[in-house]
Amino acid sequence: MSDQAATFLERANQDVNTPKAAAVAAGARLLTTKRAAAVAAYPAMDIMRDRARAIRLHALTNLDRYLDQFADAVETVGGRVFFAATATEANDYIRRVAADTDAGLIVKSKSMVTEEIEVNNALERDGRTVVETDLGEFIVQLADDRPSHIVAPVLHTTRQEVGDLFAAELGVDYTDVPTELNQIARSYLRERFLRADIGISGVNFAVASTGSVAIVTNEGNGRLSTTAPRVHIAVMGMERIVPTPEDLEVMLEVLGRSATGQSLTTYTNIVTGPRRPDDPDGPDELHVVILDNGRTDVLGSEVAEVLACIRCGACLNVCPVYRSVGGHAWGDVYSGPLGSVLSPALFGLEGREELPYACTLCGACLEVCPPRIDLPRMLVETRNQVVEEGGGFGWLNPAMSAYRLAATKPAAWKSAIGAASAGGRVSGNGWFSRLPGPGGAWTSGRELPAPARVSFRKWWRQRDGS
Amino acid sequence: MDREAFLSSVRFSLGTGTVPAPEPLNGGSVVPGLSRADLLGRFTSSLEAVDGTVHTTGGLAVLDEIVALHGPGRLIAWDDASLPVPGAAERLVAAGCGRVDSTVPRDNEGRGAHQSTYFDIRYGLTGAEAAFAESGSIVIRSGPGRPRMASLIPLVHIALLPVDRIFRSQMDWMSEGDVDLAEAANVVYVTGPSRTADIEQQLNLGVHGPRAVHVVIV
Repeated sequence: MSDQAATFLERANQDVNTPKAAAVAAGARLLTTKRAAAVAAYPAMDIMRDRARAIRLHALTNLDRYLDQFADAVETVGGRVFFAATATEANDYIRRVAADTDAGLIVKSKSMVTEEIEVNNALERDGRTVVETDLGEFIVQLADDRPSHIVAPVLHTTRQEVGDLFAAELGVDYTDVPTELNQIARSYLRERFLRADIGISGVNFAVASTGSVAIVTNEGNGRLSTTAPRVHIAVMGMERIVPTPEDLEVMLEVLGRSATGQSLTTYTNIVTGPRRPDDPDGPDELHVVILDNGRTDVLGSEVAEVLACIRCGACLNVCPVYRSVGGHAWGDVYSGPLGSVLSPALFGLEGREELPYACTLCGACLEVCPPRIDLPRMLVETRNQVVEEGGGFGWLNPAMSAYRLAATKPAAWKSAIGAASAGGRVSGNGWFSRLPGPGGAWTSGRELPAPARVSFRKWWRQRDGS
Repeated sequence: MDREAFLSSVRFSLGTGTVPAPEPLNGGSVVPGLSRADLLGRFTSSLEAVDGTVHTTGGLAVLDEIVALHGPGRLIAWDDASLPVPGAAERLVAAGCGRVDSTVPRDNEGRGAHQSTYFDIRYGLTGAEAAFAESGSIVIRSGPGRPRMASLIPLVHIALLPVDRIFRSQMDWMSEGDVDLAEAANVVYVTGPSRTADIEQQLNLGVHGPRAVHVVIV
């Protein structure tokens, strides 16, 4: 799922300072503001975050047991469970279900894990039509684009672009009025929901004790995809488990507030098995696909904690790097601080060596993460892995050696500071506005505080003497 | 992959992994309770904040006002036996709404043909077995006589809520309400009308689900 541009830096350089990156930044800021307001209005947030953390870590620590219990519970209510070690195994199973169903049309509600395994491509190769039904994902699919945010996929797209796209692809008259664009998508997708053979959804949480899967959406596409078609296939990363319905409630308390500033997302859709014998509607078949695809490796690694993530996107929204370059620079499904830890862990470090450095270690991601995942620690851990494998910023090593030499020898330190004071142009407010040599890249866009004209040592001696 | 093999590889990783142990929790109540009168007020303001409407007085007479507001149209309704009070569907029919059969055939062709009649349903009538004051949500459970589509496919969703079924939050409902999720194929918490902000973060109602939600207290 990598972009044409080979590296993070190349992709970031394409996007930085573009209207696209500015639009993503504006969206991320708005979501951050909404989250802050929701948290301020909810005094229990801190306690619930502690509980959410405890639940997620407990579930991960006992994951084998809860997955076993969950699979039994799904089967008890008439669902089928498939354990997929790889993306290919998952896709092959879904292709088999589609063949058995003789499915022509498949509707899909937004799901990061199905983006991860690229199930659409697998099904389309078999001649089946797959339609994304989340408005944002629908736009991404029509434009043959990629999501720039795990919660709001088209933060980077303008309404004029959507208007052009709908006119070109759906044969409607051009409009860039969001309510009209919304109405066009509603009609187009509704007709497809009602005649689709299969609905594919992700899973936000899977409840081990009841065999329930919870899917949250604001639009209702998650409900339509799992109600109208005859067959529902739910695809989940194996770490989505929570032990009990009470635990599910705790996770829901923090998810909506963290993602979009909502007390609860509009639809919390809890599915427990297929249509019951006397039910008037709902799917006749439910298949739950539980995906590993690298997750057991993550579970056995130094970054196992990242599996506690509930995909709210709050860490993306606050990240200064994400806000500067937008989501596409990461080149994978998962972007921002989460992506910088999760993607190398899941898909391998090769080609992703720059990701853990796309970070200022400011710690904002940890501040907002509902289960308080220590992303800064794991970003550093991922940097360690990069260096251990001989990649990344190896040139820093001699520089750090020089620094160590200077910093531990007073005479060398004094002359280095003197050189720094003399080397750059100091603006009126005591900042370097332009540095010579490699330092110029830093000061081309910002200033650096200049060393004081009188050093502390000198000032102290003079003060002492007075 | 076979379940046992999958789980044993998970078990193996857990042996070498570093999932941190969670810090001990403070026990006790998280938020103070609310009186019944406060619960209704809070529920109303929460649902209004997400663009829904609560009708606290007037009972089923309110249905006439709702039809006057949105105009007559076709209706999917729960059976009377599944609603907290009888007569609501008849009232909507009397106001000019044609009731549509809500049992979807199980065979493939019948299913498609039946659901194609759902394209422009105007009203859906359901009960609500609980509500959450803090978020403005209602809980809707599927079952015999309780089609899932009734709260999902129409332009206008009308839900009848008994006043004594409002809880402070979903957590209170779960702990006080004797809830069994596995009892029904579908339990949904509905918090206002369907919404999206995908295009330039501008709010739009009714993208796939209902554009209006009326909760009638009975």
